[in-house]
Amino acid sequence: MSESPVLNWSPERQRVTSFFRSERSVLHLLGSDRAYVSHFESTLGSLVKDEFGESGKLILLDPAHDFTVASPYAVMCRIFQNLEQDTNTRTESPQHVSVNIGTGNSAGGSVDVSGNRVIVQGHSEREELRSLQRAVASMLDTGSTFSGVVLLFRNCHRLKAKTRRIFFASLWEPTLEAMTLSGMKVIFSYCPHDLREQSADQIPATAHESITMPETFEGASYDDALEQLQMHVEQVGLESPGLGALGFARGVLFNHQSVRDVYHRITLRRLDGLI
Amino acid sequence: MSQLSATQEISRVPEVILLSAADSHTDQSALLAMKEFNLRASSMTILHEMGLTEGSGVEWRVAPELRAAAIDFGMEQRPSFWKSAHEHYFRVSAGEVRPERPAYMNWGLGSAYHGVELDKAVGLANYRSIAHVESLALTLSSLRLSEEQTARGLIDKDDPALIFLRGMAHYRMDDLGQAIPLLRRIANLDEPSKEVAVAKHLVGRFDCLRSNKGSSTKGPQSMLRESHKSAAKRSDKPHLAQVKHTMAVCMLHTSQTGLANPAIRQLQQSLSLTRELGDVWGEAMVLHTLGQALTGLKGRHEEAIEALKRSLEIGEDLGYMDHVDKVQDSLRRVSGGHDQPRAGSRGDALTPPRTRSRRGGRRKRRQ
Repeated sequence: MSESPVLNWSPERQRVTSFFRSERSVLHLLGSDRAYVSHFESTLGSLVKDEFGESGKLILLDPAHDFTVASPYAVMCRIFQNLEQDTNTRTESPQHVSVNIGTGNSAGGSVDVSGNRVIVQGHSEREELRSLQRAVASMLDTGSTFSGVVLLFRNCHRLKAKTRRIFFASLWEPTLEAMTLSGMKVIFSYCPHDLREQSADQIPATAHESITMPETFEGASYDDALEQLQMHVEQVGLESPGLGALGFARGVLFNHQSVRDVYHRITLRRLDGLI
Repeated sequence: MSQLSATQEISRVPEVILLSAADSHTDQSALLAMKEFNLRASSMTILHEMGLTEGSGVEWRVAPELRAAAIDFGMEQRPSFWKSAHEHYFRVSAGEVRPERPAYMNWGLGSAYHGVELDKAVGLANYRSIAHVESLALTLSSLRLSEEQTARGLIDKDDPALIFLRGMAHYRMDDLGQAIPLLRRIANLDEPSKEVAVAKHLVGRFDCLRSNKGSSTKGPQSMLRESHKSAAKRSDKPHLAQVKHTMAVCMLHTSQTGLANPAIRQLQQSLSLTRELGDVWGEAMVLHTLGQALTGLKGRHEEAIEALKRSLEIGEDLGYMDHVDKVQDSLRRVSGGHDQPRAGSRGDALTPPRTRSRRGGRRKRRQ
């Protein structure tokens, strides 16, 4: 698989690296269009590895994926599933339960999904959450650090105010904030017009730093983008006959100024090339 | 004729339509779909590389804006292909659980979501079933998917299945102000369904515990009796265990003399059921209420302590320390011999188990 092209975000990447090296622990990543942030996020994994080596760990959480963020318990499970590979902390094995859906339509069976777990009977989700939170507190008490752990909460603009309040009261204040004091970094990405500076419900209440994604390939970023786009065109073999990779890249950047349009045009060209 | 945007053009690519028909994918589930329809698997790689998918962990989905465009195009312009895609995902969802499937399919949501696309009645029945599963994450995910389909006009937002789902979502978020009015609408329906029985249970409990001590709880108790009757008729033992517990708590809440013994009988029946079902957490909570109820009765001090100690033991075994703290508190008061707690006066005795689904399987005791 070739690398996702990140066309003109060298300054932003450097700022992320600086953030990792700093004492600051909360970063907001903003883009007026979700697509800009999404492209950038795809490179964060390599930035984490570059900075923290093999112990670096990027944990992705998305309100619309894998049921995370929607439920504080699910978030803690996700964090633990990632952490336990590096720590001695053990979490419960997934329970095997049956979820029979509808008459004559078994959509269930054992629930054991890639380490995800849901216990549908005879348990208290609240108590289970507290158990995991106590385990974190215990780790902190015994001097564990979370250096190299980066939590990325994506699409935060999709969280409703109620969910944000739950997140803040059930996760951020009791657990995550303490983890940041022990070295963990947290990145919240969202489209700014949705929640930033709206109210005390925003996640988190205070960002130590924020990075706004550029929307266009204008000005100083143009040459940088052209060079990287040319490299990508060569890598995936999209050269135009007679124009070469550079000509193709120039053409795309001439006709499309916005980040989104450029990415979509290249995508379309690559998909066409498959036929 | 207006020129199509790049997004619109991409949304018309068959692979994009196929991938957009599912809420999310793993690479394996996407490859399976591509193979089924004889489409180009490498297009998936392109979408990944160009940032047109969003993912966390092993799962991903087509980026929202592109997915919305692909759904519109698929539904309107390629109805036959669209239907086939959902038939495929429905089959995969209904099959044996496989780790390579996205979580929403493994957890039963696939049959609801893709069911609605194929046959509204089937899908809605599945949404109803999922609403009973005691998992906030699963409930919220069901809500998100059903709202997406409501916005597309596939289902009516006022369908009882969705009202119940919304009610349970708010209930599990402890947002009773929103939950109770929704559940009350379901409780007032004249149908012998489990959803109505659950709604009557939760609304009855809310109304009972909200009433002032000593005041009449005739209305709530009647609602709880109806819920009990429904559970008995449907031989729904898990629900029966819960509603008996709540009925006891409600009786004890009224503080009327003469209700302690009937309440204890209900609790003992509830206890038998939780044990029969292997629901140790339910057992722990009933024992806590029972211990508190017995405390107030002459000559039953030892029984009270025994119940509380057993409840404590289970709480410790499960690692549920909040429960342990509450029971220890109750034990201290009982052992102190003064300021004895009144039944249902605090702790989880007043918050008996919510409508947990216990369909199939039993929770194993932790070692």
